[in-house]
Amino acid sequence: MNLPKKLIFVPIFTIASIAAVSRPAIAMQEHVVVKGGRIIPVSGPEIENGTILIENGKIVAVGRTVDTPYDAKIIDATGKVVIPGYVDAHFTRGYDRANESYPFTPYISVADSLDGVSQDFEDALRDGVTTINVIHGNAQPIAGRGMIVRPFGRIVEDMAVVYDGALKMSFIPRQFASHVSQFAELRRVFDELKDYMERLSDRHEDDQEREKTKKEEEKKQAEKDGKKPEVKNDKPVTPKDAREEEDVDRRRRTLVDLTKGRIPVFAAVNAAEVPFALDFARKHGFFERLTLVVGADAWKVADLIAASGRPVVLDPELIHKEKDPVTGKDIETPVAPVFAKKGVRFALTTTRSEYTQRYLNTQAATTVRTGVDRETALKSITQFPAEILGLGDRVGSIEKGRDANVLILSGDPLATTTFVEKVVVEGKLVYERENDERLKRIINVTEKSAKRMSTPDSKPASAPESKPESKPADEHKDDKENKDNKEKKDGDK
Amino acid sequence: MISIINLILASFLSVQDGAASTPAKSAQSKPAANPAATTIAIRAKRLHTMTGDVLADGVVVVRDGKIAAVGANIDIPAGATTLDCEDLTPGLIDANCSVGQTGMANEDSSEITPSFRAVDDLDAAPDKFLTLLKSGVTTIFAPPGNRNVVGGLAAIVKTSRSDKVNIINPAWGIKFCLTQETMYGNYSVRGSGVPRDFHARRPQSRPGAVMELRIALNTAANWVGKLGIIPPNMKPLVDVFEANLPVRIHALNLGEMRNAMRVAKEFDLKDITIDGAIEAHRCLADIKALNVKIVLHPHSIDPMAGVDGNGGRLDYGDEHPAQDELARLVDAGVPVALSSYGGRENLATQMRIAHRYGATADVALNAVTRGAAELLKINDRVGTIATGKDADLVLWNGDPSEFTTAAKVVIVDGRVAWRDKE
Repeated sequence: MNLPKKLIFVPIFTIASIAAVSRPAIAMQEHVVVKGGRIIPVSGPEIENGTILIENGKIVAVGRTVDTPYDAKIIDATGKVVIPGYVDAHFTRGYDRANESYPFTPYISVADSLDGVSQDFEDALRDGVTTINVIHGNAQPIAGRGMIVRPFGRIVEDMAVVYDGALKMSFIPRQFASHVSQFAELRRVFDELKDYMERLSDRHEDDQEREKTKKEEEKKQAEKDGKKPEVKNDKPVTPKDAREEEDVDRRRRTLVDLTKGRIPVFAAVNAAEVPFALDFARKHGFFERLTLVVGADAWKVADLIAASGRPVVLDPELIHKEKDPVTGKDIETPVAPVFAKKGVRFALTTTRSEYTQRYLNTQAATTVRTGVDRETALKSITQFPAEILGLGDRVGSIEKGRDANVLILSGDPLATTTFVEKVVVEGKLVYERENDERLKRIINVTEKSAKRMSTPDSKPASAPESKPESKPADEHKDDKENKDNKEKKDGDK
Repeated sequence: MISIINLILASFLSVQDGAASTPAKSAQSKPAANPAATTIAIRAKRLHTMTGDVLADGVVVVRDGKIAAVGANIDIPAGATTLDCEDLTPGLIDANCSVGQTGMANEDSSEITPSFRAVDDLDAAPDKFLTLLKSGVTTIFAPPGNRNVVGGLAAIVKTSRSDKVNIINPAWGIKFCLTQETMYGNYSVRGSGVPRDFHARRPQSRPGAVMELRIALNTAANWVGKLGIIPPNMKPLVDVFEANLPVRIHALNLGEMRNAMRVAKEFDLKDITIDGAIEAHRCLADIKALNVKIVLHPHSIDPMAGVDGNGGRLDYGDEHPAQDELARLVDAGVPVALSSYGGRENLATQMRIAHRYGATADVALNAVTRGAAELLKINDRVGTIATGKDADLVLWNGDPSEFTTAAKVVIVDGRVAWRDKE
């Protein structure tokens, strides 16, 4: 009897396999608990004195009353602010070159030029950015594919969150090009792709025709010979499209994926290029995957963008400056409130140059200063960029089931004196300010300045009622006295 | 108690002010248009007078372009326009700002141009200073450019929007420059010995800049007391010795600062301010010994400021500037002010960065109001909110030391110079 044997064998095998799989899994249960801080989950209301339970790099519970497992590693956040790690949706640093000199290179990827030991990633971690979309610059009409990384690991494979990221395009005329030539080139590339695909299709039709005739001839021949026609067990016919794509030239494969809407696209535009970009994306099948990387003047076509429903990545220059061509008057327009009012989802980004444009939290503070509400401002550096990157269910908020990317801040995220104290990425404590030797060197910390900077006033930026004690801002004589007093106190200690 | 004192003080000062103001002074401080009819009363939840504690729920009454009363329990005069705000501070003072200059603040034809006046370069178009006003700046120090070793006379002006430049002092003092900018574009004359254009000039090295300054000061020192033979264009340099005309020296790094102080010592210059001063904390002893005042630039308090245009980092070799430079200098008792250095990033941002890196909010605010006014010797008119002072005020929608705070109304000489649309 075969049956009983099988019946016995199967359960044993199953049990064995479960044991084999689950035993190491039990040993690997790593619990981390972030305890005692004011949690700003971004996606929901703030939680005073909350706890986050992290298991194997994922958040499994958030709230006031969360039980701490006996084996949990505890990160104390008492008196601190806990916020999801910031997400930078458009980061053009961390590699040796932003763009190739040849205008069309859809087949390349930043993975090949990513420099894991670059200072840029170290800075990103220090500034609390835990998910970064590293992508090409705006100097090519079709640049290549970006990748989404976590700013530690030092090796591309270890850093990768999404290895094959969005394709970068630019509708802004590159150097020496005009709008006409830029658009003409883009049309040419996509027309050529269409021709190529048609040729490929024709070739397949010819092949199929030839095969058909050949079969029929064989059949006729067989009938003529009086033989019984051979019954072949025909393989299921590969769909025509798939067969074509198998044959697509590797250099063109990304563009084929693009026109089929399979990969996300980040397209750089200024106000002038927005209508063309939207039409072009609709025509070539990537409209649904399009994110506009807008220049500072794109607020002028905010209606068009809002109507299209596509999200935008704002230029680091959050206040658009221009001169009135007639009167010569300087005009400044805050960009973020325009998009916020029209309900456009936007992500903020950074650049190296000016102080306030260098950090995502100061960028968010700038949007609040110019009229965006605090909630939207915080979302524009966490949840919105995460959603734009297609990682809305993994990062950008503190919720059950999300990756445990958590920052512990010394105060309110938008307050002037707030520093990133600790960074947890996927349950691992990867940065501690007190051990940041390079930061100490950069800001030249003496004992005294360290002391000054370790006691920030932890007032929330939007609630100015709680003004800290105000020392008479007096002549330097008084400051000197204060200093003497301070020193005395130090001496007493 | 404070309010009572203030009231008494207010009445006393207003009487004194009426009696003692000289005709010349009142002519200078006269507001551009006719504010006589306007009385403004401003109620602030927090009133930063910069003369003492922050007053809760303070009131400031402005009349005829001047502050008429300050205090907590002041009756608002009938018929006065009333404004409300969260925080009220004096108008900010930018101790080095080239906004409003047409962009050619240098006379390249010579490396020594003592009679060049920056005020002549200031454009009086009413909206020239709008960007400054929006960020709460009401007074700027406008120096000549950095191309000449002796650049010329610096001006102090207000940012009010009038058809006439609102000048506080057209010739505050003389500006020297010892940085590399003095040599950009210069070339030496070789071969035929005939220069092609006036860029064939000195200096061509950093010691050359110091040499030029020594030559100029030596020449001027020899003219002291010889009124009849002083060439008119050299008069301001002679005034440095005769009348203790203030000297502003642009020096960025430690070497240039030491050069500046060495020259100051040699010629016994009395009133020196060094601006730039990226590494001021490394020569604090000399700064103290010579009573040097310091004006910090954006890159003096932010070592990663992108002034090099190359990835954003300045190359300082092993040393980085201290980011808490302001706090250190104030601790050491050095008179110090912040500046936007041409409005690249606004002055309020500088104040906030200084606050982030160690200075308390009040020390940082002091460095752009009262401290700056004292450093520029205009504290008789601006820098504090006190009776009799110019009514230059900024109404903020929150704590001015926060990046999230914006100026809502800016008042210059008792008139609303800018107000946001809401």
